[in-house]
Amino acid sequence: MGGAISKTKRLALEERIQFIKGTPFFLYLDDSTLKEFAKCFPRIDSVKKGERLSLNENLVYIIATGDLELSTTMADPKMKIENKGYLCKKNPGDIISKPKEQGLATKKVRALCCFAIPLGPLSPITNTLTAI
Amino acid sequence: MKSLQLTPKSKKMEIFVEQVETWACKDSLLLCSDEGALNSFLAAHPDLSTAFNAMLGSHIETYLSNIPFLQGLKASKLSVLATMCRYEALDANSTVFEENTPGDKLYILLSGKATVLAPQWVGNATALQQSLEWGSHNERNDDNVIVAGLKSGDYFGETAVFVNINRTSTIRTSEKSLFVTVGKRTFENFCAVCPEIKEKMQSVMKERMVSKLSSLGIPFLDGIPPASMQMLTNHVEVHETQQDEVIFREGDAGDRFYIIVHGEVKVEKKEEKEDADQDQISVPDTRSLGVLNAGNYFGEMGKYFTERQGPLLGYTNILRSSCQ
Repeated sequence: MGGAISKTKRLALEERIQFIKGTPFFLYLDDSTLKEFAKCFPRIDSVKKGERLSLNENLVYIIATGDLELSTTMADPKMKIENKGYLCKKNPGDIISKPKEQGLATKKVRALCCFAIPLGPLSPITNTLTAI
Repeated sequence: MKSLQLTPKSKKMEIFVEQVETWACKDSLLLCSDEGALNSFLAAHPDLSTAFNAMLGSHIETYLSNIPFLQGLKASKLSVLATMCRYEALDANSTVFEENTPGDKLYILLSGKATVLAPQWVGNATALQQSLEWGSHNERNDDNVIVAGLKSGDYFGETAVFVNINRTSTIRTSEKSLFVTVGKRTFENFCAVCPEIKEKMQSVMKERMVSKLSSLGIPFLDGIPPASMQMLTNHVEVHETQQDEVIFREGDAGDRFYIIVHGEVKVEKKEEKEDADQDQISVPDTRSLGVLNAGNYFGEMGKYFTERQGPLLGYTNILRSSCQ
């Protein structure tokens, strides 16, 4: 299940600029800011076909070449099953990042049972506990 | 203190948590940001920072959660949809899409401004089609009417992700703008793993349509109080038909009343040939009775052979007994 980035290397600024020109954000950049922006992407990661990526939550990625596929596993509360499925493809020029929430919730949780108890009627008890 | 003894009904109740996995379909290269450098860059360029940050997941989720048929969806599911979105940037005075062109995605304006333009209103047909997406118009602009101004966070074109109708308006940027888009196929993939959203989408669309019905002067619906009109929403179905599909034939049970939202319907009547030779089998002739357009309604007679000429959306199950 472990994700992989096969290789990481440095890339010349000019090459990085060419890749950034493929992003929609390019429209917002004049020549000087484009250079500055390209400097914010100092390395290039390569992944082999069929490898699963493990994205770093704090980083932003621009697809320079190749295609990525997104798939998911989702709970279906009515059917009590999990739906697995292909979501979409990401192509060169697409900007991707890992959503923050996912970083907190990427594992299956096994529970015996859950109870929801209204706190109102329990407030005398909880107040006592706080006092103790 | 006495502890409660709880017996779980199910020994193994697994709660699944949504997650997105990213795979390389082919050998790929990814430019990877340096967190510190990127933060410094965005801090030095606050104008760019707004657009760039808007592209990152958490902002998009907030925008997505404002779309009526996505409201109430779990944050983790919105987060999945956010990762599926794409971005488009356009210069000022660019056309996002033209009226009467096929639509295949919904847009959310992340930064910039745009206007919604529609031709001058020509009665029920246009009003009904446009009621799918826009409210009342307010300003004229040459041949078009400015239906609405769009700002950051506004969405449009969402009808395209669930029905096949052409765009009902033209959208033009009034300044450099960045959009997030969700394509029809992408959204279908999302619905496949998140089926509860389909029901919500149908409900929102029907509400929009019905809210406009009372103002369109349709005699059948005249005089129905707003509360009762709202009740009709529950009985309305959206029907999408293919070109040349027969909607109903003469002699069929007339249990539905249709209002055309988009497309054309051809009305034909079959007539027996009067043949002098009684021994020969008579072949019925089909006579055209005319063409119905968006805003017109039919089905209250249940008498004619009706064949449509273009894509059609209709309201059904508006029974006469409900309208009395």
